[in-house]
Amino acid sequence: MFRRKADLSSFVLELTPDCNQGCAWCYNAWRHQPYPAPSLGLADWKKIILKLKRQARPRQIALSGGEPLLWPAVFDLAAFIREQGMSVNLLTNGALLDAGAAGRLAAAGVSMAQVTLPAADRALYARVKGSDDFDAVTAGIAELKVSGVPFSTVFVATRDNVSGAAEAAGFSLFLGARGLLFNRLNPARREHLEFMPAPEQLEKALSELDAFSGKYKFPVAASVPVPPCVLDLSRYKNIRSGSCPRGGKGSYYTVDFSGNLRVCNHSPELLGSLLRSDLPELLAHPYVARFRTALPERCRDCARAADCRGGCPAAAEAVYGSLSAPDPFVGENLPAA
Amino acid sequence: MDWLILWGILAAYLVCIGFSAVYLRRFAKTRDKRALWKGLALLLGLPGLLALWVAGWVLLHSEDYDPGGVMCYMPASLGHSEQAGPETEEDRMQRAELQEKYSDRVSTETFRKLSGTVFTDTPADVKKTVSGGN
Repeated sequence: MFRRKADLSSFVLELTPDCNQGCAWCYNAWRHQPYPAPSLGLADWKKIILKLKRQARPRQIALSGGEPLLWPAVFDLAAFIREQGMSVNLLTNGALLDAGAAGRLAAAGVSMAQVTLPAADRALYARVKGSDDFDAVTAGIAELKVSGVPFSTVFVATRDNVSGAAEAAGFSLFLGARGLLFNRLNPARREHLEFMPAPEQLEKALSELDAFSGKYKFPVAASVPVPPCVLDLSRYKNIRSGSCPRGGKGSYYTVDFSGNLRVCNHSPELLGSLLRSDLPELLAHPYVARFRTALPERCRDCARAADCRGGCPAAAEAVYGSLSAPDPFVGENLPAA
Repeated sequence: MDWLILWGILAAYLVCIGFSAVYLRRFAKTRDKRALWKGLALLLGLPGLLALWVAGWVLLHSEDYDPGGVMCYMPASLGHSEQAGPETEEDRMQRAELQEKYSDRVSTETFRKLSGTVFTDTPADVKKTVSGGN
């Protein structure tokens, strides 16, 4: 009686490891380590949704992948989640959106699609994504508009495209997006460091985005945390930003295509199967405590540590091998004395 | 189930108030001491029921899982909600400016579809909240 639920309201479901694109900077955990094969069908996902509903307070579920539109039952699952009273976000590269898919997303009650759009023109898109899908993506976005599915664009900022962020925001507004999520590249392996934008590039891009957002009243959020010791985002009055909740309230725990829970979609550590175990058991995994408390040595005396909490521990672990290492954006730009 | 119990307690609380009032009123009219004791007993039970209800409510709203994160990784809102309103002349000019600048970057068919939708949106149509995680 009065069993308390985990105070977690957002979850990401990785429906499939498959993707129709091959971004060189992809952070999906299974691309960088041995990983269990996909095994969940629609019935399994429904069981997981019901378990989350019993053991947490889910209000928002994001359907991700890989590319979630490659998973055949994505529309049925979205409809089921809506029936359970939660909102559904679809995280997609947009290349597979056609009139049929957009219509089914609308019918399923998808609340929001987040479409990756790292460039506002074909040539830059092809260079950044390594694919010729620019026209397919813009056509897919138009189908979302026709079907009445709200969408925002996601701008993954790399060294190559970061200077085009404001341009991408303008293009997104032209396409009818309800906002732009500016995600600085968050490396998932050491080789990704070469794609990471430099602080001065980021500063210029965010200044331009801030001005654009103010002028056009177009919502912009910087959703991958940027430690303030490298660049203080509080100066950008029109850009919403935050820091990593590190597995606490506000986190979006991630369930992969085999039913394994992870702390977030950037973390590679499997906490265990949600099909076989209850959520509280998995949240009691020692890794979660380590994830939550790890703080880089150099951050211990920092006045901003309580807010920043050292940036992204998942990226620190992936690149430097330790949750207590600095966020690579700090590690690469502010070498320890 | 938990909520059912909680609302059950609240219902019991309201019923007790009702019966207590009835007994005390009867005592006032008849000076029947049994009615007085029943009325007082119910009245004394009320704070206990209320305390039980409050305790249950607090438990249901408490955080089993310590809220360690100080801010959301993905902001729940992208802001500007206060700025949505009727379309102004400036909005129209900005829209025209964006169409002028970007229309040649999409195919004719895509532009046609956008023309029938986004270009007819007004700022008030645009619910300014976006959330999620990636």
